[in-house]
This record gives sequence, structure tokens and C-alpha cells, in this order.
Amino acid sequence: MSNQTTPNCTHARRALLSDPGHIADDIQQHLQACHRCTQFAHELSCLDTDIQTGLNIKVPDKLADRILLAKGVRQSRHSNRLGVWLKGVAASAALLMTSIGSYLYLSAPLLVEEIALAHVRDELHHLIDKDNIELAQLNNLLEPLNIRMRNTSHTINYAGSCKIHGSAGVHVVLQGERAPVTLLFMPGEHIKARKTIEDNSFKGVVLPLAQGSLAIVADKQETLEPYEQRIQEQLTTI
Amino acid sequence: MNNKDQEFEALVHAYSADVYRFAYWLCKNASLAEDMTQETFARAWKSIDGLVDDRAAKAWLITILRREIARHFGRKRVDTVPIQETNIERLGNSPGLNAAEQLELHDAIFKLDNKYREPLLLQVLGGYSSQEIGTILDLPPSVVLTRVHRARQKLRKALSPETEISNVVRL
Repeated sequence: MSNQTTPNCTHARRALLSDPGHIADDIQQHLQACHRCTQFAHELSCLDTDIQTGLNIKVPDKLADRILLAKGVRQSRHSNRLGVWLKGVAASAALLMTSIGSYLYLSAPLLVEEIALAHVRDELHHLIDKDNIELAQLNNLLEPLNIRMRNTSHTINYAGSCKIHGSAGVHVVLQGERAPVTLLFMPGEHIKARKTIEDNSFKGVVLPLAQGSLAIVADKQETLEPYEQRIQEQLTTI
Repeated sequence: MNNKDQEFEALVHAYSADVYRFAYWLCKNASLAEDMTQETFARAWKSIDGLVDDRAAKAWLITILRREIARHFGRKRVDTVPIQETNIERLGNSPGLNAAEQLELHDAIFKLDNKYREPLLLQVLGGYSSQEIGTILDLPPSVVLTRVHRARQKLRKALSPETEISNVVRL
């Protein structure tokens, strides 16, 4: 083995630095014959192993699932938008005949059902949270809304305060039988009677509360009636 | 599930971790990295019909990611870097480096100028040659080679400050 650096050494080292993952046959042959370049290749490989280890940080749990979930919801939203667009075309046609009626239709405020669905879609990542929240923690969050839950028959996967349509609400995700069930306590959204929610992916209900309303939303495969009944029984005003 | 859905799902499972890691090292922020990863795949889904060669998928996704990051920082006009988030929970398993050394390495990677960090990421994480990196970054391969070499030197110095860095190759 040679200990002298030669033009071949420069070529070999450039090749190693340029593409460490692929060592061509002529470089391999040179390495076998050159002690210094073998050492260089070894040092480079050790350094790259360390760098690679450093760069290979842990990836968030279920990242791929979350990406696919978001894509599914986008598709569903897209098809809803298409429906809305078609309605818009119809409304435009109607505008020619009844401009006042169309104006009222287009300027209608957001419905509470739309607000609830939009919030669930915007925070889809909470559907796969597994924080295992204690009832006391949930009640701390609900306290400003003057309500509490006496008990809960479901695992609480997530609970947090968040802005819902401009008001400070509480977002809760329960472990359902088949899919997660989202509860949205919306103090700023007042309704007089129970309303139902449905789109391509989710279904649910919005119930009037003393202070605002409560939306219960889940995947279409989940049976919601038992939740609606139990949650109403478990909720109490402070 | 149709072919397009299947193709996309395969892409997500194969490359989401790599895209996230690139995003993390480029954004220096874990939650932003996840947002950028989501945006990248959202754009990828819209234009997946344009992906003719599956072997080019990773480079294609990285190109989309780089555009998303540029768009994000361009829109926000952020000149300062976000808070460095290296912490012990994010460290990978390393047979060669202990936790303190890994943290030191993370810090050194964050401190690298982007022009050095990006080609290094592409070579070490992506497994690309200087030629391929040049195509992705729109740089001559010789410039890529120089930058990757300098990035390695800086990291090597950070890992072993006492080690004399030999300029074994004049680039």
C-alpha cells in the first residue's frame, strides 16, 4: 500500500466526497492500493454515520396517518365546495330573476353546524391524540363556561381551550366505539333547539346549553345517540 | 381506493418521514416542519399526475417542500430563525454518539449557514450525489461539492474540536 498522495488520490477523494454512497470500481481499486485514501474513506464514513445519526431525528407519531387523514378531509371538503359552487351557479341564475332573494342567501351568516364542522376539520390532528385526560383537568377547562361533567364513561383523548368562531371554547375528543367523538363547547354560539350536522365525512348534533351550545361530532360510522344522551346526563351547571 | 389514491398513500408512507426531517432541519421548528410536510403532500396530491417516474418521487417532494418553505418565509418576511428546538426527545438512536454529543451536533447543524446545511442534508439524508444535488438546488456540482465539504468540516470541528482538520483535498 502506498503512503504517498498522488493525482489518483485527489480524484478518489473528490469522488468519495461527491457521492459517498456510491464507490465506483476504479475508486475501490485505488483504495485497496492506497493506505492514506483508505484512512480518508474510513474517517469520512465515520463522520457521515455520526452526521446521519444526528440528522435522523424522531418523526412525530402517526405523521403519515395524519397526512392521509388531512387529504381525505380535503377531498371531502372539495366535493362539498363543488356542491357549494353549483349552488352558487344556481343562485346566480336566480339572481337574474330574484336579485333580492339571492342577496339574502349569499349574505347569510355562518350556521352553527358549519362552525362546528369547520373547527373539527381545522384541528383534525386532535382526532389521533391520546393524552388520556383526567376528568378534573377537563372540568378545569370547563369552569369558565360555568359547567362541569359529573363523571365520564369514555376515555378523554384530548381536551383543550381554543377559539371557536372568535369565542373561547373547549375542544374535547373522546375515545368512541369505532371512531373518536369530538365535543365542542361553544359559548359564543347560541341556538334555541337541537340541530343536526352532516357532510361527506362527519355527522353530529348541536345542543343548546345555558351558555352557548355543545356540538357532538364524529365520523359517520360512529353511532352518536348514546353519546348525546350520556353527555347530557353527565353535564351539570355550576 | 383508486390507483391515484394508492400511489399517493405509498408516497406518504415511503417519504413522509424524510420530508419531515428535511423540513425540520430547514425550518428549525418542529411544528412548522409538520405544517410544511402537510402542505407539501397537499400540493403533491394535486399534481401527482405530473409525477411520471416513481424513482424521482423523493426529489420531486423535496422540490415542493423547498418551494413551500420559501413561500412561507417569503409571505411572513421572517429574517430571523425560529427558536432552536433541539431537545433530548427528538434525538435518534445512536450507537456512536451519546446524548450530549448528539445535542452538540444538532446545535452545530442549526448553526450551519443554509447554503452549507441544505446540500449536506440532501447528501447525507437524501443519499444524492453532487450532480443530483446540483440539479435540485440549481447549482454547479463543483459548488455543491465545496459546500458539502465545508459543512462536514464545520461539523467535524464541532464534534471533535481538538481534531486538526486536514485539508486532504483542495476543492
